[in-house]
Amino acid sequence: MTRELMQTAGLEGFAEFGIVVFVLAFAMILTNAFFGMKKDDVERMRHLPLEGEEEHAGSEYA
Amino acid sequence: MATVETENQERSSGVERVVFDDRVVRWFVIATVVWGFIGMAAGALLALQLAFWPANMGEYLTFGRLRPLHTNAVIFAFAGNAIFAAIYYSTQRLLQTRMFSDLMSRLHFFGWQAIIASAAITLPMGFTQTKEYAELEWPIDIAITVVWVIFAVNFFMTLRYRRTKHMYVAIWFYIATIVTVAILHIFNNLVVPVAALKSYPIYAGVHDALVQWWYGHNAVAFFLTTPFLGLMYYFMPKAAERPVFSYKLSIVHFWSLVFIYIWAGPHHLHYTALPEWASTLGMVFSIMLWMPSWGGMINGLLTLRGAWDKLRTSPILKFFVVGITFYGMATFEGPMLSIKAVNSLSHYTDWTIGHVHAGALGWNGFMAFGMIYWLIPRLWQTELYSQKLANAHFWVGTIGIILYVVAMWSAGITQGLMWRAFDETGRLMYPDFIETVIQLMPMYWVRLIGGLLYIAGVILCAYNLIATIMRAPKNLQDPSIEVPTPTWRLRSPDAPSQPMPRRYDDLLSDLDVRIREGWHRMLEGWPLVFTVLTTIAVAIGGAAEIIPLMLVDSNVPTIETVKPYTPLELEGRDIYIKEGCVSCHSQMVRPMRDEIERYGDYSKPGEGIYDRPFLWGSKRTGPDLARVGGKYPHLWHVRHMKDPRLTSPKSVMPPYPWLLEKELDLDGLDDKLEGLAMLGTPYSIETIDGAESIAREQAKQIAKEIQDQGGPAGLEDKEITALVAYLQRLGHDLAEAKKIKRKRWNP
Repeated sequence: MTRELMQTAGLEGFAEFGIVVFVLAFAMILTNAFFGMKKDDVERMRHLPLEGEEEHAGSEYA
Repeated sequence: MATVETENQERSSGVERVVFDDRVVRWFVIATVVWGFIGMAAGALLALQLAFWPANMGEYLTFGRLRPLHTNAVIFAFAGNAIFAAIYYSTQRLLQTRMFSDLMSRLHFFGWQAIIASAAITLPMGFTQTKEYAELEWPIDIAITVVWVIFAVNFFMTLRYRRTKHMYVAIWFYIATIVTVAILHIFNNLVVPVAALKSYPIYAGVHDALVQWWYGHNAVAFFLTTPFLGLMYYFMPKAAERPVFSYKLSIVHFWSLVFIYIWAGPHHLHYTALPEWASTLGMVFSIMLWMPSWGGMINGLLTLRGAWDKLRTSPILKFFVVGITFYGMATFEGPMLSIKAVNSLSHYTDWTIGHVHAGALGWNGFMAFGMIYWLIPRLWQTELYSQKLANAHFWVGTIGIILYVVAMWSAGITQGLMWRAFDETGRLMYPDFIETVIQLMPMYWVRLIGGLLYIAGVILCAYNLIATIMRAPKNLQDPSIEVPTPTWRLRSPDAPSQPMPRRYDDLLSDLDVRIREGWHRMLEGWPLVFTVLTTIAVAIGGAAEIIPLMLVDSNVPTIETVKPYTPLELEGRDIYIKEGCVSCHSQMVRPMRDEIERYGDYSKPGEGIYDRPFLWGSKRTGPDLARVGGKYPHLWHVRHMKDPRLTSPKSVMPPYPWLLEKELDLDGLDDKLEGLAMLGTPYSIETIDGAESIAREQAKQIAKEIQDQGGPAGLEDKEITALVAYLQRLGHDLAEAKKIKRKRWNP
């Protein structure tokens, strides 16, 4: 049954399906990233790696 | 687990002290440098063997046997240990918690080193599945699965006990790595074991090729790209002391990359027997891949904005900037090579080798070394022994890469053009394959010099590391950090053990707050859902390519004359696999005028239905063998294997004299046939039960023919006979099909 369905679907359909899914997801991500995020949140996330001074292994050795 | 409990006891103060586990990071850093040297030294030996064939020393150190050792060592040992060091160091800091289990961290470290050691032993011995970057045999594959699961559980449980609500972009890339590598490894290593270190894949021919290159390409994507991008997003801002250029761009970068990359695998199979639609799909997505890749490169490089002056003094930033630049170059070149017209020239040549090494030496190597130089003083709590040596490493390595890559580009384009050159009468200008190899020798020597320079840099790094360790404090203390108790994750110890049931209003209010934050922001604080979505994104591409190919019969039209290998031919095929012949010889004639002229009829999908594994190859240092059957008498093959210069005076192929001396071991041949029969190869019970005697009979016949042709006597119980049987079978079935058709048309 599955095999028959796949055969009648036409092979180009699988590629088109993939591209459509990607374009939809990409549009959502782009919209959210550039219009749906608060500036404060973005700034805080950007600085995450720079947070936290460690004891014993501080920047004096860099 | 014990650590989490201890930390919980301190929670009442509102501040918690987190002690990081840096010991395991130190181990991974040392392992990176050690295995890096070993893997690259193996690479240098291979480069020497290509330029100077006598460097093939005996049975266990031939190019064919060492090549998978080199690739596995640099990918899984060097790059693997580097990404584990990066993940263990940065995850603890970004999530503000110690790794979930010290025991699991140690099991991961020692388990991984044991796997690498087992690869270093089994591959030169000839135990190989022969699929590129997935050569290790089934017991080692199971060990990899176990160790990977330990790593994954440790990582995801650390995520669960994190103290920062939202996950930084580096963590997303680590999640994608862990999930996707698991999927790829499992599906590409589905095999039926037929002996302790021998197996056959469940896929055959075209199917096997597609699954392998879905795996192979995405091993590059999710083992050599995503974890290194995570590394970049954490260590680049650290080294530059600047936040990442654009967090928004990183979101777009991540999702585009994980979605698109998985589709690109079929570009490794252009003009092969893979159906056209799959090949085109791979090309289209490969070209699309350029954009997210460059988005990531730009994000990495622009993190240095306003701090470019630091490049003058910091070897770490030099490594990172050149590493990211090589990422940009390699990710431009990759999509370009995936365009069919370009690929028709580049495929099977050294251009691909140059492309791979621009990525491996430039991107992976330099990002790893930049990270190592940043980590050394922090992990060993003392200054780096010598900044000058680190700078010298950078310059020696850079010159090495440039020499390597330029030599391989030149070699690839030269050979590709020579293969397709026709003279004015329409005949091949270089009909003798070896002519196109001899031309490359100067470039092979330049490649060797480039590689040796790069290794010299690694030696400088190792010396710098050892000298720093020697002057490090004796009792290194794990660093710690004080963080506020997270209110969002853990209930207060004073809270009742049975919380009051929440009302719908409260839940809706919570949801409203989350939605206002944005759905991606919500995902960043929701690891499980994030992981599931990442898995779906990577699964779509694989499923949409592989499932139709498997299910739609028209993809692999049946050829009536294609029959299973005889027991002796099968044994010969396994010898071909053991010796790594596929490293230099393809078995895939592309439908191009020059290839058909040189080798014979182009390869058809239906030819490989009993080929487990497929042996199409990816590089031609020697000619294609798909149509070699019947081209030469048996004796030619015997003499060629004994010493290739007896039949091709300028050949660079190593001699295989032991094939004429080693006894043909047919124990377990019936198990092999039984395993293949289980997978659908139509072997009768009589053939399986009588496999050894059938093989001996055929061997006797071939040995007699060799003797009749003037060759030595007594080869019927030697390995060479099985190999000759296999080689003489190549292309035979298609030739039979053509004969039958000719008879039908001209009775």
